[in-house]
Amino acid sequence: MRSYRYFILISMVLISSCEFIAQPSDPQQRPSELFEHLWTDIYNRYTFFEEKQIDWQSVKEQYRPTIHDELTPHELFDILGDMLAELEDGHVNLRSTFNRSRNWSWFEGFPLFYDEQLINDKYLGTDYRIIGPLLAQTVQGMLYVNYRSFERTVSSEHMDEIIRLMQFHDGLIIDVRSNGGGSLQNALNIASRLTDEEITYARQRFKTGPGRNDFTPWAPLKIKPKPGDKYLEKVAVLTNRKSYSSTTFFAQMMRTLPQARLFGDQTGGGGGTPVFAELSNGWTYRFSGSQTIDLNEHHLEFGVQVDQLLTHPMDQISGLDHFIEAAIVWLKE
Amino acid sequence: MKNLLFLIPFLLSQSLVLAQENKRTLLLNAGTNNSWERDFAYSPLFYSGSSAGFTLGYSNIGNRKTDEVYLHLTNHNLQNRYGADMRGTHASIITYTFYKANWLPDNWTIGWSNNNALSLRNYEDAQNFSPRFDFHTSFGPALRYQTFFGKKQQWRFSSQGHLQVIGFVFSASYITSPPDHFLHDQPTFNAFLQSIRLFQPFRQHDLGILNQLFYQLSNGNEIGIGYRFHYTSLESAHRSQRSAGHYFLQLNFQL
Repeated sequence: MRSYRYFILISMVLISSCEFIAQPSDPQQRPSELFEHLWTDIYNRYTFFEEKQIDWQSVKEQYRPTIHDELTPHELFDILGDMLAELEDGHVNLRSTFNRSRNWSWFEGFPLFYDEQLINDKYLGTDYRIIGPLLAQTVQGMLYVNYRSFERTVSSEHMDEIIRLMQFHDGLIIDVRSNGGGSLQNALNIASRLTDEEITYARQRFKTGPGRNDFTPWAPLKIKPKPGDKYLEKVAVLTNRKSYSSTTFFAQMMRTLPQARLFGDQTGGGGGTPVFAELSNGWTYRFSGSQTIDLNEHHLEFGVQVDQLLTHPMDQISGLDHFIEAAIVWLKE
Repeated sequence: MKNLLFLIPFLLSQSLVLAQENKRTLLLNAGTNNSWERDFAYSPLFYSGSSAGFTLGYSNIGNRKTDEVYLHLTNHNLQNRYGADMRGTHASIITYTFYKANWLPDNWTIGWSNNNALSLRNYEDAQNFSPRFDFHTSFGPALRYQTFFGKKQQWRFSSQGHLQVIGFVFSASYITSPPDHFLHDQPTFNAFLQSIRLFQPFRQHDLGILNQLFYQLSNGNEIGIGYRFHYTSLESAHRSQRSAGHYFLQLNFQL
């Protein structure tokens, strides 16, 4: 009997806390290992090397000699951030508690043709409607709707109100200039009330492995009409170089609708869906893990072109927003 | 429809086994669950923490055969060493079937086990493709030691373990939350079938240990304490590992 008790006691003690015994140790956090992990993960999973003609191997040869184990965290962050910036992708960032690396060349250096003060003073005024994230005002008989971030949810109720207001207006202007993106669902929530048939607006594929050609087959991205009233008349969409990510997808959706027309400047791009990951020192990073092409097989990563380009200095009208004015002229035609 | 054809005979066979005229017991336990988890698709760091875990079980004990079913559920907030959060959910159904073999010593039984486990992982800093998930069904041998002691043999200790290296895994893809085949333009059932990956040696395995000590009450029910250890390593599009130690108080009700 005593031997049983000893056996039980020993078993209970020995086999308890196995989860801690099985727990692995975290990997090393030396700069060289962090560099290797980040470079390799990007090499395996980033999607636009060929389209951007980036030789990631030569990028490694350029940056690897600058890595040594005496680097301070700030120095290491700057080097890794510069390496990621070679991808020229707004969806690529390195994030620490003290900084966030980025490459914003998709809009830096380009005129934005978007003066918020002018919009407020001349077009929105003080009595505009605030319909969730949408700012709406009547401008020369048209409904002007300003949407500043796709991160803010557009609900079906918000769209019900927009559609209701269209009974009293002759055309719709949706201004998504300098809208840096957010949730693609919000773009679909708007577009799905502007069509009464299912429309394929783009095609998308995702990385499936480390090989350069390891992708899923292209799958269609569709706008599916949602329940509720629809507005099927003319829609003008205003974009600029700072219209990015989900805003680029929205511009592409609108480009495929027969009654819509894009005005202004091309969007900034951002056609790759960002994937998030973490380094062993706690820094996080993100990168594009998919590709999206329009119906003519142009990558949305490089932006959506407008129907009416308004970037020439001669297009500008002193004291007015020439994008809005051009849209109104078209809507009145 | 095809999967229903497989599922219905399986459920029927399970219920027929449990319907035999044997000693049947309902098991309920709750306690602390210490766990850690690592998904290389997101991070090489492991996330760990404690939470509450619950189990509902059923056992059917015959002269030469014992069947057990355990349903486990745990919701937990895990953290890495830098304080980043991961919210996880684990649910599993584990079955054991033990047989009394003549060649084994009196206190030992041998059999097989089956585990059907789902793990969902929501990383705080991952705005897209979260949660990542694994579902696996695995099979393997199980062994059990059980002894009674005390003046009236009212104490019972049992220790059992399993090692499963045969099975299949269905998990998040290389990039996205759904498996790759769900991203194709095809029926969901086809996508499901194409997404299943069979276990391969040393790439996927599942092991567990369950230690329990019970005291039998005068009405035949039991009260006891126990420790359940579990470790899973799955390599699919990426490797994920997890382990948990569940310390619990259990009540067994005779049916």
